[in-house]
Order: sequence, then structure tokens, then C-alpha cells
Amino acid sequence: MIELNKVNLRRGSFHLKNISMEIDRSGMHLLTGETGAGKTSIVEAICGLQAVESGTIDLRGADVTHKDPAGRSIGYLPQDAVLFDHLTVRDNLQFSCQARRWKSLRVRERVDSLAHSLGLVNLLERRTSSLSGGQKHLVALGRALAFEPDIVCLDEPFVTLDAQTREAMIDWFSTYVRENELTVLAVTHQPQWFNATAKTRWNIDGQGNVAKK
Amino acid sequence: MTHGDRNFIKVISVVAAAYVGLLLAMVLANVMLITGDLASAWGTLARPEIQQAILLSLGTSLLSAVLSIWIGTGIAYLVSRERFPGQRLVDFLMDLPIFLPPLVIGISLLILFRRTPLAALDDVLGVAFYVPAIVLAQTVVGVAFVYRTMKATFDSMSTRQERIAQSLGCSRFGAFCKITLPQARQGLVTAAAIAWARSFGEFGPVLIFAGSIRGRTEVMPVSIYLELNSGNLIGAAMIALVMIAIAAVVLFVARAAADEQKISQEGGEQ
Repeated sequence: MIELNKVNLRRGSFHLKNISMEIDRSGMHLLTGETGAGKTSIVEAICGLQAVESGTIDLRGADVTHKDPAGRSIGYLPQDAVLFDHLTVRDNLQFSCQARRWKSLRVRERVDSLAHSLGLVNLLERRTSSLSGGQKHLVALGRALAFEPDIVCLDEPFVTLDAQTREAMIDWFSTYVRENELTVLAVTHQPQWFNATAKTRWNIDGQGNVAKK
Repeated sequence: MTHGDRNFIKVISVVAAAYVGLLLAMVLANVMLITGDLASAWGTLARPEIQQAILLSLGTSLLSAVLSIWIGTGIAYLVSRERFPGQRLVDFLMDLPIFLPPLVIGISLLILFRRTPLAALDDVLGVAFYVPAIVLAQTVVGVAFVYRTMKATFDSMSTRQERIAQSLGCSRFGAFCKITLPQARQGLVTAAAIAWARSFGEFGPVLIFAGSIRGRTEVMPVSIYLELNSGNLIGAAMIALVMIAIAAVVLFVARAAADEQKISQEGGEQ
């Protein structure tokens, strides 16, 4: 499903060398490591948001190393949410569906269903700039899932939520992943939150070496 | 506030008051002049060639502003977001129309269209000394101002939202239209207002490239020039007052649009 072969990445003076990973089945997979080790760079390279110097990235068995982000069909939840603040919650949730020219009825049903699951029903017509950090995070999660991708990358999911909401959301998300047979790669500093569901855990050390734990 | 702070504020207040006073005095001087001979002032405005000049000024400045926004915004986006050979040269060249004397732009356009192989095309299309020359002269300058405003706007915006939009299935063009442009709206309004104002008041390049042909290429600044040349100072002052009134209305509308955008953003952030 997701395969990195000797990938080299550079962001300014930061350099990751020969990253290789293979995630070959659906379910939740974790990527852990120290702050600044390069976890986000790896995830963004998979999503096409970070250029690869050399090596290859395969998704669903096809080489996508030089494919643009839109062509990879990955739902991505950035750590900082990156919502479109000039739009409402509804607009953010339906953004990817409209980009794919879904019929309006299907878009509405999908948005309403996600809003219900994520507890966003009462916020749908509000501008995202007026939301709390936790609400923004949920909108960004909904936006990443809206177009029903089969691969999802999450950067620090659920960290901005209170304990009670977090537990409920992890339960809901785990069920969603299982029922829809999603392949999820989640960058996290809290692997214990996903003990019950994680299929594999990858760790990146301070020298940029990635290994399965 | 210390004694030094108070003095500082006093000094800049005096300078500000003097400048604002000068602006108001300039307008009042025009008003006082025409009130001395209202019949002559209205008579100038009633002349068909002056009314045509007003319409031509409004039409060409609007068209030039639209063209300037299209061209200037596109180049600003390209230079702000991409890296390509000659980028610094492009950035430098885009400032030239701002720094060059307007007459230089006019004479350069005239030579390009009348003293190079382009003259053959000009003979067919009829650019120099016709209305397209007015639009071209206005646009050359307008684009530079739009570019400078929009480049600063795009430079201040993170590319992250655009990239995330692409990861959600948007093309580059889609992300530009749906994410970048709406977020740059305040800059766009400012750029449009500047481009229009520059086009509306453009004189030197228009005079040289389009000429001062009554009933054909006469825009309002040219009318003022022609009225002054024929000794009709009151008529020139009247046309100047009409220009001030039109510019004031456009400035008011542009500021209202910018304020509305600001209020709507602040409202969303509460």
C-alpha cells in the first residue's frame, strides 16, 4: 500500500537519507520518533507535499514519486490543521468532494454524515477562524476523510482534544478505519493511545534511521 | 508620555496638518476659481468633446485597470511562488515603469510601434494615435503598480494552504482561484484601486503615444492640457474638479470594500 525505497529528502539544511518503509496491509500504522527527527517530512513526502531528491515512493503498487499531491488521493491531516479560514466548516469539509466534482446530493450526505460523527453539526456554517484548536483539528480530520480516500496520513492526531473527546474520537476513528479498510499512517508521540488498533510501529531515531519496532 | 514624546507627536502633527491643509487648499482653489465664472465652467463641461473625454477616460481607465490586474497578478504570483532563471531580472524590470519618467514610457512605446517592424502591424491594427494606445500606455504603468502590490501580498502569504488544497484534489489553478485569490482579496482591492487611479490620471505616455487628438484620443488629463493651452483656465479647473470628484468616489468605494473584507475577517476570528 505504502512503500518508500531509499528515499532522500532535504528541507534547508535538514537531510534524511535512505528512508525505506513498507506498509503492506490496511489498518493503523504508527510513525514515532524524537521531535525534529523528520517524521512530518516523511509523511509530507508520501503526500507529495515535500520533494524527494532520490529514491521512490510507491502507493497501491504504483510509483508516485513524481506525481502531484492531487494525483495521490491521500487524505492528509496536518499537525497545524491548515484550514481554509476564509471558508465555513461546511466549505472545508466539502472541499475535496467538490474538487472531485461529486454530485451535490452526495456531497451534502457525506458532509452531514461526517459532521454528525465528529460532533460538528452545530458548527457547519461558522467560519473556521472562529473555532477552538480542538474543533479545528476535528474539521481538518473530517476534511481529510471527506473524499473517502483509502490511504490517510495523520500528523499528531487527536493531541489538541480533551481526554474525553479524544477517547471517543479514537474509538470512532478505529471503527471507521476497520469498516472502510483504510490504510492509515499516523505520526504520533503518544503510541499508547493506539495500542489496541496499531498494526505496526515504525520509529525514526535522531540519525534519521527508520526501523520497524 | 515624556516631554520628548509630546514634542515628537507635536512635530509630526504639524507636518500632517500642513500637508492635509495643502491638499484641501488645492481643491478649494479650483472651486474658488470656477465659482467666479460658473457659466464658463459649465460651458466647458457641456462641450461634446469634453463629455466624450470624460467617457473615454472612464472607459479606458476601467479597461486598463482590469488588464493590469490580470497581467500584474499573474506575474506577481509567478515571481513570488516559482524559482526560474532570470527571476531577479523580471522583478527588476517590473519596477521600471514606476521609476521611469512617464514621457520615457510614451516615447518608447511610440518608437516601438512606429519605428520598428511592428509599424506594419500597427498600420493594420491602428494602435498608435488611437484608443488602443491610451489603454496600452495606461496598462504598462498600471501593471507595474499591481505587480508590486500583489507580489508583497503573495510574499506575505504561506504556500501551505495552497499545497494542502492540492493534496485534497485541487489543481494548481484551482488552488489559486479557490484559496489564494480569496485570501489575497484585500491586496487585490488595493491593487485595483491603484491601477485604476494611475490609469485615470495618466498623461505623459498617453500624450506622446496616443496624441492629443480632439474627439479621438482626448482623455481628461489631455483635456486639461488642451484647455490650458487655449487659455481656458476656468475650463481646465472644472475638468480637474470632475476628476477629483470621480477619483474620490472610486477611492471611497475601494476603501469601503477593503474595510468590509477586514470586518468580515475580524468577525470570523471572534
